[in-house]
Amino acid sequence: MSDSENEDIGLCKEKSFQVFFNTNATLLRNYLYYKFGGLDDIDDIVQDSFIKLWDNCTKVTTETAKSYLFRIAINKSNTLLRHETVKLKHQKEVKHINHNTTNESPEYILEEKEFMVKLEKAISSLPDRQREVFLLNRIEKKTYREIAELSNVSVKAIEKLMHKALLKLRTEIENLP
Amino acid sequence: MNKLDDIFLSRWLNNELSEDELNQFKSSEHYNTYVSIIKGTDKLQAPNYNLNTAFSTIKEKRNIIAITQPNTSSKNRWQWGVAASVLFLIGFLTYFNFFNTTEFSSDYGTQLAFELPDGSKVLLNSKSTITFNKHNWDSNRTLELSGEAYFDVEKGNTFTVQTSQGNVSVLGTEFNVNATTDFFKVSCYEGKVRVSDNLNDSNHILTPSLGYQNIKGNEPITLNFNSVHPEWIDNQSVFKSTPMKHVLKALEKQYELQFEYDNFNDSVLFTGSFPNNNKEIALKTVLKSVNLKYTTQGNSIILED
Repeated sequence: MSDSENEDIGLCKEKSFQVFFNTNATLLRNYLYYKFGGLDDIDDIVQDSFIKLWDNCTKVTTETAKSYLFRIAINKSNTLLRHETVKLKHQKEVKHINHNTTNESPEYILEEKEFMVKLEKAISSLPDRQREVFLLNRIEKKTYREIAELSNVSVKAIEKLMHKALLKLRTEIENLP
Repeated sequence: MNKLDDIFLSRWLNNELSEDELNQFKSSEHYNTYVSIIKGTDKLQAPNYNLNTAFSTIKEKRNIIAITQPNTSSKNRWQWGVAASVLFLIGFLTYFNFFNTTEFSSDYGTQLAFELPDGSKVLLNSKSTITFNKHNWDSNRTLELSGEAYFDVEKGNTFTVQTSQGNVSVLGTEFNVNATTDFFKVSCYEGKVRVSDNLNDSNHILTPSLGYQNIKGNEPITLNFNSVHPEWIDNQSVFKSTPMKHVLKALEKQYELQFEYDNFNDSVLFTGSFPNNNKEIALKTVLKSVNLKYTTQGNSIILED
């Protein structure tokens, strides 16, 4: 894995805490977002989880901090019952259209747009766990092993969830009008 | 032909299918939809996340939490009852101690370090005094300061420094207060500080590296600084746009001196510093900067026009 910061200076100091925050906050936020949706609540949960970690900075080491953080955040999110739709951004769309104006017909572009709408609907309709695993792998480019470590389950479990997610997405898309 | 297993889609994404499996999958009617799903998802992204604003919110929230956390929140009703009757009793007992305040004073040119009952640390600059009541300290963290002091305050309920020029209240933080007659300067090194200025009846919130200065006869100013603690701790006295009158007073306090002058305009502003451990250099740096000649008579310094 890439995160091999071997500075064991503890997390209590603002500098080192900020380094830890910068390396982990986006992943935690997206992890919760993929799972639960609802940006405002998620941002609050992320902040509160980091605050709790900071308050308990003497009780964790740099190795245990990440899983401790994720555990706090997941526990906090589970108590939030109101789940909202996950709205994703089309990062490469503009570039994509410009790039393809010459060799793709308007019909194709329209068809593709329709497909994207269906895909996003299908992603929203996935069960929480499947969506979380699918998007962590596809968007965050996390390996199955990394995802397994985040939520403390086996790699096999992640492979099953991933498979189910794809299966569900395909049937949803085929069934959408 | 083998049937594909129940995780083959995961293995396909990881390029772990055998050639046979892959061919079998490719010939299935759903293959193209799966490819479109993966290609489509590749174009998606989570909404942007601004790390910097999130981190400053965290720092802010931590301070607010300190404010709103009452240290008695876990007490039950019956405990309140007990507490109330105990307080009633204690009220009689403390009545006799009530005016029994604790005082710390530093002499000319000396600094004094001490701890308050809650572990908060105070460093007193020369010729300064702090008084407080240690009996009710935990419930009322208020002290009186005359002169200059640096505080490193433990987290807890509001901590207030009262001076003749105004009050400074904080939660848990590090800050410096310098308050003498007509002179009021507060610098924040950590956390958040609220300054109530009696002179112009205004309030100011200070965050780290910010200071507030109000000297009678001058416009109040906000100071930006880089130091991590007050310079006087490193034996330097630093001034920014400060009337000479107050710089001379600081010299007097540091070196047990008495300045005497008639025609010198002591409202001239001085920006600079002097060392707190070398009288000759201190006098030279300050007085030469305003082209003043002086003669020494014991502890008296007579300024010539």
